[in-house]
Amino acid sequence: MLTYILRRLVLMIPTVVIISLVSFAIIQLPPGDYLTTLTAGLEAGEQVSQGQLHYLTERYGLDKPLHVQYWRWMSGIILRGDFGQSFEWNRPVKDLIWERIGLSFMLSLSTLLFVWAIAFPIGILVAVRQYSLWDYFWTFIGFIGLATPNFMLALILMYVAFRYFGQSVGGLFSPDFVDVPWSWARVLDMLKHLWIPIIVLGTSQTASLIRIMRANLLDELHKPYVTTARAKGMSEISLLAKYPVRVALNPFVSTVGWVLPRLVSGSVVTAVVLNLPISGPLMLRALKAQDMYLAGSFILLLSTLTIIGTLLSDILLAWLDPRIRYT
Amino acid sequence: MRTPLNHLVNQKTRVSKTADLTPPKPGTPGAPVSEQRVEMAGQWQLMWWKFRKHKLAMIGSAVTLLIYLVALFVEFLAPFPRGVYEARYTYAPPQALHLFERTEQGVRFRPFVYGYKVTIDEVAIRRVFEIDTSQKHYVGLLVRGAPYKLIGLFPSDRHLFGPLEQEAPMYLLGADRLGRDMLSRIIYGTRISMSIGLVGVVLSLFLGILLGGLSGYYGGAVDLLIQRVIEFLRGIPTIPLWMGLAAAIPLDWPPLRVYFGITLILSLIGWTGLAREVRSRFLSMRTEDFVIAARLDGSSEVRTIMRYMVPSFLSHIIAAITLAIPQMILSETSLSFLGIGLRPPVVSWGVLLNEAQNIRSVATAPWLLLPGVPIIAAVLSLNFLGDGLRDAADPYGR
Amino acid sequence: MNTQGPLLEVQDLQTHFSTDEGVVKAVDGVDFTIRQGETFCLVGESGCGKSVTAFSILQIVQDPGRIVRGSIHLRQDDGQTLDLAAMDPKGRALRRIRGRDIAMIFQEPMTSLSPVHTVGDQISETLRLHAPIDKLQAREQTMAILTRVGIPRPERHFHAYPFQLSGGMRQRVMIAMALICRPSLLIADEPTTALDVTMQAVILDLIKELQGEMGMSVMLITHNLGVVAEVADTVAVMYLGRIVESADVYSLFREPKHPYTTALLRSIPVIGLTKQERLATIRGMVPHPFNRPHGCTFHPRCDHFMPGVCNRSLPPITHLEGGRTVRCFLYGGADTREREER
Repeated sequence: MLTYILRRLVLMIPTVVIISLVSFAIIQLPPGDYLTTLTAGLEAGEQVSQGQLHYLTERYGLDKPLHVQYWRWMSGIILRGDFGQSFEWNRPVKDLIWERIGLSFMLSLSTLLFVWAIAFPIGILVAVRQYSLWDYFWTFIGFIGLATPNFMLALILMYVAFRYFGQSVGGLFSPDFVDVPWSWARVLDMLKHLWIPIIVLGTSQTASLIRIMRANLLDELHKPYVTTARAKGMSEISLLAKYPVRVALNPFVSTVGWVLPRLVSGSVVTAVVLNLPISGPLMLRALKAQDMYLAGSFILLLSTLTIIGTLLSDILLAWLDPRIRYT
Repeated sequence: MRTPLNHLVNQKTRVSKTADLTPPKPGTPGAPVSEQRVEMAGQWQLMWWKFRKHKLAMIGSAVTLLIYLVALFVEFLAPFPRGVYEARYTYAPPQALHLFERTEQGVRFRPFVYGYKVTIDEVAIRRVFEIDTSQKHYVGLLVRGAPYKLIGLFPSDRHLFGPLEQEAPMYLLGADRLGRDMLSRIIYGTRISMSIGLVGVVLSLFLGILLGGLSGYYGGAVDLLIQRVIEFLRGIPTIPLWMGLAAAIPLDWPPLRVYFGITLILSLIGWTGLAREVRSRFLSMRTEDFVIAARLDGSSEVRTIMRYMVPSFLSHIIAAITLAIPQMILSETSLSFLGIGLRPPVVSWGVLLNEAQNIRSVATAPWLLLPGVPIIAAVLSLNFLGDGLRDAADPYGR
Repeated sequence: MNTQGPLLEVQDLQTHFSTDEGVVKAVDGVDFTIRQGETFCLVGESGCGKSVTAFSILQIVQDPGRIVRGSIHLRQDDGQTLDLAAMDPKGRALRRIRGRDIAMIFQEPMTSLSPVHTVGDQISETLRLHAPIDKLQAREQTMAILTRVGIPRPERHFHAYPFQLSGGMRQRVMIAMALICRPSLLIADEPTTALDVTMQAVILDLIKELQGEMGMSVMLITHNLGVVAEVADTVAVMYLGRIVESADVYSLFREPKHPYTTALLRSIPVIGLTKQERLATIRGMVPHPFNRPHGCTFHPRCDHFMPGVCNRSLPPITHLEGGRTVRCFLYGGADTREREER
């Protein structure tokens, strides 16, 4: 088990390196950079000092070849935890992103838990009662969930809340709690706001996980080992819980590998609609303004965290499934 | 529903007959469908029989076909061209279409809509619309309107339906910020949104089959490398990546180039699913007896692949493609919604929804959400179609 | 062989599968008796309904299979008999029979064991379902039976997963699991089909040995006549959901009555066959389950087919000397006039 985890950790290193390269490439893609915009602004008589411009050029080697720039950026992150400077905000990137990334990831994880908590029992229910009313009902909900873009759902929920309950539902905090330090009251306030983004983000994933659980379980329900258990004299319920559900759990757990990236992706779009103080809106803005280090750091961190989340799920899977552990 | 197997049940006395190898004559009226028909039917015939049993898939394919027909005849179906605006009717609410008119002579078929009575709300500084039952604007079929070229070839100015007086307001699904007809714009959006799925899938397919095929056929180091790349691409969250790439598209590009740029970006991720499918088919088929037999017979590698392997997994690939199109449509919608995908004046469903980005405009004009309806319909029916195809393609499934 | 009174009596058992395409009569009126301590073999081609018969006894036939008629009387230790066919398949009473009085082993030991539970867990579970004992005792008894079925180092293999064992070992595990509660009847559904030939003999010997030790009856389902000759006391031959002939093993092999049995025996390869003598096969194919021939279901393939008799009505069971039964018009039951003309 330990060797498995170690092997996976080692395999992760090249992946993260590639992610950093890709992130860097993305922020280099647009023609021109923020400095060009800044210089243009300078010529137009804006309040940017020549010295500041020079300092930035020097510090990030913006006049140097690309590999030097990449190296400076990366070494800053690894050695000093310095993600660079946000040109637009004129503040270090790390001051801007950590809380947002943290909230982003917290939202994705709580959505994941929500998705599992719903999809697992319902998946079992519809598989055991195949072709029942429940089955058709959830299949229908599932299809709708799959076909509705997250932001549509967010918009519809917001409209309904606005129209029929007369309240605005955006954000993660009430106005009183937006800019105060963390406290229990703030956490409680956040939990009150959290359910809408969780529903919005979770619906389509719940729908697909129900379908996966149903298919897995239907496969397992007719396997000979279930008959063996039945021939032993086990009752249907304990038999179901001990054998097919347990075996069907494995592919279910492994789905986290793609559910997590999708949740992170989804949260980016949903956050824009629901006006959540997480990474999405700021990243969108940074990308549009070519605020390269800010945008690049977002892409880098979101991707890396997703890879780590996937790794955790793989470890969980190995712990659950002896066939993976021993081979 | 009558299925081939049902016919077998009613047959009683065929057992002792020796196998008759003459192919059955299809479509002979009243001829009993025999076991031989099942035995002699080709792969595609069997697939069709199976597909036909899948009701949702049949409905899905009908709706899909309908949507693509709409995409083809956009100019004819939309009452107005996409760019026509009318500042007087900013955020005009949808009108009901009345099919029958009640007059002194009785009720008769004569479709019409009522006009609007516009007042200005001084406090909120916006127009307030009321339906004015004193004005009637008659609606006709095949009316003359703005000229266009059907499928880019045949000049015409007939529209399927529209107001008889060209200037009359007709907003069956309401109007947007600039007083443009939502119905026409949704119909126009069909073409872009549906085609981006197709074009994107063709690109993904090319990459997917090429790389997946290489991976599955050669195995070893090639396979390992390609599999790592796929795993990597699937492991990172797509939207941030797309956002980064899409934001890199210069603002001054012409719409057509933006369109292809976005499609390219979408298929950059989309190919991985197809490549996986192709690879797993290749892997399982490489060791199938009939492939080994072909190779032992001395057929060349290309021939082995094209003649023996491709036909046996083609149906699976088609199913996978069908399931990939809705993904593309949803992705395009998300990007355009964020304002970094397609941009006006191009009209896609995502671009239309971009108008509904904040709660204030949705609260004033909830009909701005309507482009979501065709998205859901298209994605659903393509998914049903794909599911049906996938089930039908599996010769051992039920 | 200490053969005593009947342990299990099956009468007119009918198990049908209703599908969208029609009803498959997998078991269509089967009668047999298994006596205490004997080995009863049910023989037939694939798809003749022998496995479904076995599954019907414990009522673990998979959906949409249902017992539609008949009775299955099991005599218990206290001398009372129970009709298993009349019990609720999901009820507690039947569950207490399963695994305790009647145990079963299956064809594919790999898929018949859960891949994600240890061997020890799966064996001791049977015990703990039926006996009020704690974990430690269950563990001890599991070790004991593992040793008994010939698994080396049981304390280590207790924690092994099925995929870590060889095919023969897995089947030993299945046997251990079935026998841990000392059932009075062991149903073995083609227990050796998935094994190689040497392992087949070893496993059969093991079953035979344990049978003698525990005094149980064995119902062995197989398509392999070699296996039948080796272990059986009584044999029943099944064709398309019905038993066409039953007899003690010596009489059956020496003097088969039903044309189907005769044909089956002729199709066994014999060492020393010359090139000119081809191995006999039964002509034709097993008919499609929806497409049962009318009358005697074997008539289209039978060498003694009597037109107007065999394809008209189902031959009744004829009792012959020595407790043998056969279902064929050659031995009576038809309009005799027609038969004599032939």
